[in-house]
Amino acid sequence: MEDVEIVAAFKKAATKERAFTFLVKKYQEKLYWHIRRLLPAHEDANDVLQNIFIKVWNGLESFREDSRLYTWLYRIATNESLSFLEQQKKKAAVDFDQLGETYSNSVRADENFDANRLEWKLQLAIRQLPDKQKLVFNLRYFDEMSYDEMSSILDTSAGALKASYHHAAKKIEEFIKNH
Amino acid sequence: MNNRKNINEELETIAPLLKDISRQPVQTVPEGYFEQFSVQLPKTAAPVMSMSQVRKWMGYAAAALVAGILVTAGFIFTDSDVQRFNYEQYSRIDVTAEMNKLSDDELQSYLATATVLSGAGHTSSAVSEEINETITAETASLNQVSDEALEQFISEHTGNSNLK
Repeated sequence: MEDVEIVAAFKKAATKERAFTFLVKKYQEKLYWHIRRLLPAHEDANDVLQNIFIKVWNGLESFREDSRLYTWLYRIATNESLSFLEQQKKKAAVDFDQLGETYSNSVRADENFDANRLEWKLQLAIRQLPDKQKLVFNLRYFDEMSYDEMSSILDTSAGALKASYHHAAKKIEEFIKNH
Repeated sequence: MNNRKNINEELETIAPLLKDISRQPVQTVPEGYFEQFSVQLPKTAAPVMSMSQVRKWMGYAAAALVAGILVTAGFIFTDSDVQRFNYEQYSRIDVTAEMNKLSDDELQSYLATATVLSGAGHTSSAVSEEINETITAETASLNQVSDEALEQFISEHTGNSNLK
């Protein structure tokens, strides 16, 4: 089922729940990993994912089809994840560097963690980036989005996003080379 | 969505090391998480009515009840025999014919009863006789008065002596 069909089916009372179930099945994994790359703990990612889908359930009725469902979902997921991070920072009363260290520790705590594998080094390198830069890198590198798509999610110009991505990629490569 | 080829070409120029790293997630996820994932939608709560609204509706209900009682009572008391009295029906009764149907005994019985009810000596015929007797007595006394006395009386009371 195409996104346009999901939205149309959701707006009819008879097919609303079926359309929503289909939407959840289609996007749950992509959105989960988008969140999980920002929040290292599975429990946190699960909570945020639940909130995102509740917001989708409440808001999809009034979704304007001049934007794509895919980018609309990512926009909600991004905002929810950043809000969660902000709350965590306030709750922990720690600065960004301390929180980055905490997140790096949580990456190392994973039962599959292998310090010699490039994939894990990449994860540790991403944890060192500021939140916004981390977000830009993830959307481009893992979700393979164009700068225009990212622009509609992050409300930032494509040029600024490209510069941010290049900067992040160089920092990550540098980190991996040094660790 | 851009394909990986374009992204890798870009990485080739800025950070070639990243181009060959697997994009597959490495973090642990509970087994069967995605298969069992379901959204816990909040149950739609019944609309909450504030106490002030409840009191307001109870006030309306009490007012409606009182109004109903008043209207019902009004119908009971005003929809009486008076309203149902059919004057037209009585106007069509032929009194003479109805009287002719009565026997003499019935009439005598009615008159005796009527006399009792209105008091002895107060039937209409008795009153007429009383009036006639009074007029006769007053006429006889006036005949005894002279013409001069009468004229003087009239003059004194009307201021007109030339009555003739």
